[in-house]
Amino acid sequence: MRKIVAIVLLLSMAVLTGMAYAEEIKMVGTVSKIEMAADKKSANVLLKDVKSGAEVTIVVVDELTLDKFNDKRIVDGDEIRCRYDNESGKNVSKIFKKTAGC
Amino acid sequence: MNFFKKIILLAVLAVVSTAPVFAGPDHTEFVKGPFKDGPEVTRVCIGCHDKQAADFMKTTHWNWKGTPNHVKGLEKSSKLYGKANMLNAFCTSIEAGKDGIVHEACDKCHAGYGWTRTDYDFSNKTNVDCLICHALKGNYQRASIGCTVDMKSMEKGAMDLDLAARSVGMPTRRNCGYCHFFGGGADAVKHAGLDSTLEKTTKKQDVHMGSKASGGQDMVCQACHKTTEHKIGGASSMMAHFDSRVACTDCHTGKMAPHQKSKNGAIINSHAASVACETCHIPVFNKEQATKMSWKWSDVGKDLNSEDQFDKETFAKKKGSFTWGMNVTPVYAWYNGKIERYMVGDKIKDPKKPVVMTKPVGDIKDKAAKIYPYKLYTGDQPMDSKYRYLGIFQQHKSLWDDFSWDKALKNGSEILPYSGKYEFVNTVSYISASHEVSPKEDAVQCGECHMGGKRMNWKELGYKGDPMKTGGRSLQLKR
Repeated sequence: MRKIVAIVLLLSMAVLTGMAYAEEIKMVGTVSKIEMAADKKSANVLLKDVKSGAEVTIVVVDELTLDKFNDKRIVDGDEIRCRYDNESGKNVSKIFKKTAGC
Repeated sequence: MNFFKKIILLAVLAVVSTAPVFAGPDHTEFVKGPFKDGPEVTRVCIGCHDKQAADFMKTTHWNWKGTPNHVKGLEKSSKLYGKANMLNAFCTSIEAGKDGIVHEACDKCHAGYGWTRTDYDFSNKTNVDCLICHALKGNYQRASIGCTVDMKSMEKGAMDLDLAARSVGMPTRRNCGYCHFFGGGADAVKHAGLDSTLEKTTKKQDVHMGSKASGGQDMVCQACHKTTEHKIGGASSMMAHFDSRVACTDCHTGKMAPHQKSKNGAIINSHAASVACETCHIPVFNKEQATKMSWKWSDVGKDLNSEDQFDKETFAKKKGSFTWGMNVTPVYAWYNGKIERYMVGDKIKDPKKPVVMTKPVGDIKDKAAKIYPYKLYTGDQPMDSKYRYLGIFQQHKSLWDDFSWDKALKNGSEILPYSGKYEFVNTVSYISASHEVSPKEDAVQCGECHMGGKRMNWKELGYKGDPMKTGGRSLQLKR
């Protein structure tokens, strides 16, 4: 019984530790390139960080943002506020919105 | 064919024959293009829809003012009030000062072309912008400057005016949301629980607008905001005028009456005399994106660090500092159908107390009042120290160029004289939370308000204590 409890605890710790290390990154960047997947269920977007100039490829999967790419509501040159997680080597978008206001 | 089959056939025929009415007829035959600008499109529209344009020009969506039928004390006023001539605690005023200039970015959301001066021609039908509400494709965009079609979007291929013109139909949430999701200058800023995430959402966020796949109804705005001759129903908690009201009971009556299957239905229904539906069914607002909870204009021009709060910035040199809220628990107040509203030129009696920009009217003794949920929004803005009214200041080409409040107030002084001295006063606004209706399983539960629950401040609402212990207001009214 003790062994089972210990294994469960160890596994839980491993999972929680993994979650804690799932990197969440925020950036404001300019869209350089939007590439829709053939099935239109995701897109790779190249964002250029406005501060550092570094280019990051973001994977977008949420339907609303994909609609915006399709309708050209978000296009090259738009400034974006983005939050993404690094999941298995891919930067998956959690928030992807234009910074513009009046 | 038996009777049952005939009924089925009739039902199918009825649905098929009325379908085009709901979707709107295909306009590709009538609207050819090519078009160079918005008024060119409007000229084609009014070729067939002259009456609709005339109807629209009688609405508050066009005039941005109307009789102040929502404001206590102004019921008999013949002066018209609205966005065109009122002040709020967000971007404050569309009026910008000398020569009748306006803050053109505000008029990005006027359903018309060219309102760049206060002497705008409201009688010119070709100024009506049909596409902002009716274009379903083509990514129709309006410019922040010039109050017209966004030519820059056209030039970079992000917008197709011809496609927009050919695609017209009944408005979708995206059409209404183009302005109403972005009130206050950007996404989610002003209204409680009304932001662009509602364009495509789930029942969890809003039972009415959530997708069918998620169990929602995928309803368009006008399903609740009933529209007659282009007059759109709804009474904003910040606006002086409304054309007609929206109530949950417009639909939820008869067979759709609430709580019929609830084992505590009778008890819950007994609350309805004092508690609005929204109070229990909107337990929190802004579930998917943070809304602005405060705005200090007094920080304009300072060199403060902008932090990140719920993925929103807390400071911008041109606008000041802000706080944001997500999954916000509302505050509660009595509302009898009228609001108390600060109007341009109103004298501020005590500048040390927050100026009430908008607040519902009503109290526990008012039989017409019910308890409603609100976003409590606070801020500060300049007051003329001598005349003791809130100042109108010019933002573009003034405050935002050199951060000089004195100059901005002087430039904005065409509507109200500026004495040359100003100070900042705090403001408070009660903004109704009427969207993001939660699924019934997420509704406010008894124990959140009663039996020690802290959601309601009973004493502030005029009760002696928890009405479950001290008695409901029917008892309070008798005393």
